[in-house]
Amino acid sequence: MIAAVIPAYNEAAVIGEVVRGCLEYADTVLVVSDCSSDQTASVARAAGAQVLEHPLQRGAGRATATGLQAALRWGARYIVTLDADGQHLPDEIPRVLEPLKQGEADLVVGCRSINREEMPLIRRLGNRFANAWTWLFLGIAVSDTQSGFRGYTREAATRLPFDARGYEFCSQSLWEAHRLELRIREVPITVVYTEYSQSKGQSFTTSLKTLGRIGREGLRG
Amino acid sequence: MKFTLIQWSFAFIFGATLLRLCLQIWRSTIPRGRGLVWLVIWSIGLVVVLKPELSAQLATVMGVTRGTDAVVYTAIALLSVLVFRAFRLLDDQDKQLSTLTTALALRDWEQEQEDL
Repeated sequence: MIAAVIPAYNEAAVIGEVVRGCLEYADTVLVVSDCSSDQTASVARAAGAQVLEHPLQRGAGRATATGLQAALRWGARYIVTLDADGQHLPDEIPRVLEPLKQGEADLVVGCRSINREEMPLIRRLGNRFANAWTWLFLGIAVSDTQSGFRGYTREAATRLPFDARGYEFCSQSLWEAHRLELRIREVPITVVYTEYSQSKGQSFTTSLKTLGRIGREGLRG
Repeated sequence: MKFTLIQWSFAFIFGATLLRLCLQIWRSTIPRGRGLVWLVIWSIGLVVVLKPELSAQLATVMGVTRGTDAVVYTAIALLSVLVFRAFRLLDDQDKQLSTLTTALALRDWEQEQEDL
């Protein structure tokens, strides 16, 4: 049983296509609308997803946590998380899940390395800086700490405490996985950079907040 | 003993705050332990306002030259503690809100599943 979890905030324009793509590889798709003000929830439902709606906006991290909890309650054995803006290809879900199914990993991170040269320079630099920052404060060396395309076994999703709110959950969950001695594996993935997906990424202010929270988590120990 | 205008002003503010605090403790609208801590803090403030020479003695104990410096340093330390506590409180409430949001979303989702 495979569940795809998609945290979404105002993604009505693309969420339908993402959900339909995921349904080809997952038994269910759980979209968590983080208090969206547009038609994200209804479009996702119409496309065949189960929808959870946050009554308050709590950030991508919390939306992912809600989706993972729903996936566990639904009975998922493997859980894959994707971004809602269409930058991840659902066709690559099997690649992300493969190490989990082979019993080689508990957590798989889809690293944006296949078409890295297509990544805008500012994002590439930001990504490298975030990786270095995560290594400095959390002591984890992963080539793409901020990727939202991930796979979890049921056991890993059950054990990981997801209490981060924003995008820092990407780094924090890696740190927790490292602390819990879960096996982390990286697989290369493709990222689609459209004008839309670029407009939906982390803003400079959000990035600074994320780095601040990672630093705070690191100092907290 | 002749008080300056600033002494009168601060004495009035501190006195009013102490009075309000006493009423809150009396009516049990704040925990008694916390109320007593604040009572001590505001009382010390009132005493220092009414007897400024005490701040000079405090300065000697703290190793600074002037009584005013001692008051300012103490106030900064106190404010730092308060800001830290306020941030912790906000952080706790933020986490509680997140937990509640997830719980509500899951409850509604499960209800929806049952209805289907």
